[in-house]
Amino acid sequence: VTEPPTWDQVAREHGRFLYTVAYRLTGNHDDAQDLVQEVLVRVQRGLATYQPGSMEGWLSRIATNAFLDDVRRRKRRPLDLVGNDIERVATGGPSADEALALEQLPDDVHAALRGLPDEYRIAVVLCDVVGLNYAEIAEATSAPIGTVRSRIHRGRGLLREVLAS
Amino acid sequence: VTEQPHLGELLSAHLDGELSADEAATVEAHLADCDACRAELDATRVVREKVRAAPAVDPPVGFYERLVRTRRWSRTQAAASVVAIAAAWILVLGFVVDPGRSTVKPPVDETRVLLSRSDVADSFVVQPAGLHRVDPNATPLPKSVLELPRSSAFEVNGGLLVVFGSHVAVFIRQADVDWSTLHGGLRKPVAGVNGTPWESTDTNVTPALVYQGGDWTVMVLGPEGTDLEQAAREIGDPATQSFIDRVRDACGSVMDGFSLR
Repeated sequence: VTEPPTWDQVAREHGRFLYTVAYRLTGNHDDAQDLVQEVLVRVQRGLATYQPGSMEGWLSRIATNAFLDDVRRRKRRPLDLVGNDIERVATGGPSADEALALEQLPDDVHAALRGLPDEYRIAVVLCDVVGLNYAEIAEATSAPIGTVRSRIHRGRGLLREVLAS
Repeated sequence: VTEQPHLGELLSAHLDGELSADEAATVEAHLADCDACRAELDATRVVREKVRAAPAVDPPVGFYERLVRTRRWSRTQAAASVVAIAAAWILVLGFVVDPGRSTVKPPVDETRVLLSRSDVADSFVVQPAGLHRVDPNATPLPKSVLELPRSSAFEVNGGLLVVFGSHVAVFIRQADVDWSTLHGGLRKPVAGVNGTPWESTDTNVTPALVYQGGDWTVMVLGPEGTDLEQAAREIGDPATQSFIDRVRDACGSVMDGFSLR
């Protein structure tokens, strides 16, 4: 039995990576923090069987699964670009920490990603942020490779339109 | 001349190096003759590079530190490690189960599956007594369900796992355990504990103490530093009615499937 990594190992060595993936998947800091926490809970509980190999690939798969579970559970409303900002204002705006994090991201790519349908965003993030190959993405998302290929290309097509406008 | 269809998603696959040599050659041949596909390839390449160049995102300052400091997380983490440790030990015990016994299902695979399936994590049902029961048909609950209260129980194949505060006891039918194959420890009498318990002495493994009572083998597990002998005295002899009542009180209906006598 391969020991799953400890919490502080993950945080120390892969914290930034994990947070980036969570932020790109969820589209906002609040959900990203929830997702990171959920990933760490799953890591600790050994819910995901650790296979020696790329730690970051493994963490990404857990993050993807947790994100998909959350999507299914909440049947979340389609992400729209203003929704989160409205909530943020309603709850008093970002904390100082969050404001700092936000300042680091004058990121039109992120805004465009956030507007993608979940399945396109997941495919593009796993491919271009995480660096998984198509077979790995297919495994992580339980989708055939042909579907992955199509999602990536269509996701990029939509990003292109948004970024060009 | 038949007009060739445009390349579409093959363009992304081409950029990502996901095409075979033959496919790539076909794509290149098409590109040489097709302005529209060349333009789409270039535009796709630009957006691909933009996403790849997007900077890593730092979590809010102190995010991970706060996470580990919060009570909720610490409790979850402590309980979770203990459950993970128990799972590992159940795997060990799996090797000592005689697979030829028809009444015994080897716990290895199902236990591992049970604890590793993410959908099971969503299937704990909170009972009034603070019990989390694995119920595959249950409606998913919020994350707070992961906070294990003082007495929680999990059904694991062939046994029952009860979390008592910081330690865990796993109950396995006595007939399923072959003591002679337990290594890295020794049997010795422990005051107040039934029979001659086996206690791990190998510092490389999770501390464990195994004893028997009635029809059951009890394996007590805990993190480094747990006083397992004291824990075993608290858990008591599974052959006694007072023990059965106490566990039943703590664990409610999850015990219904287990006749402890």
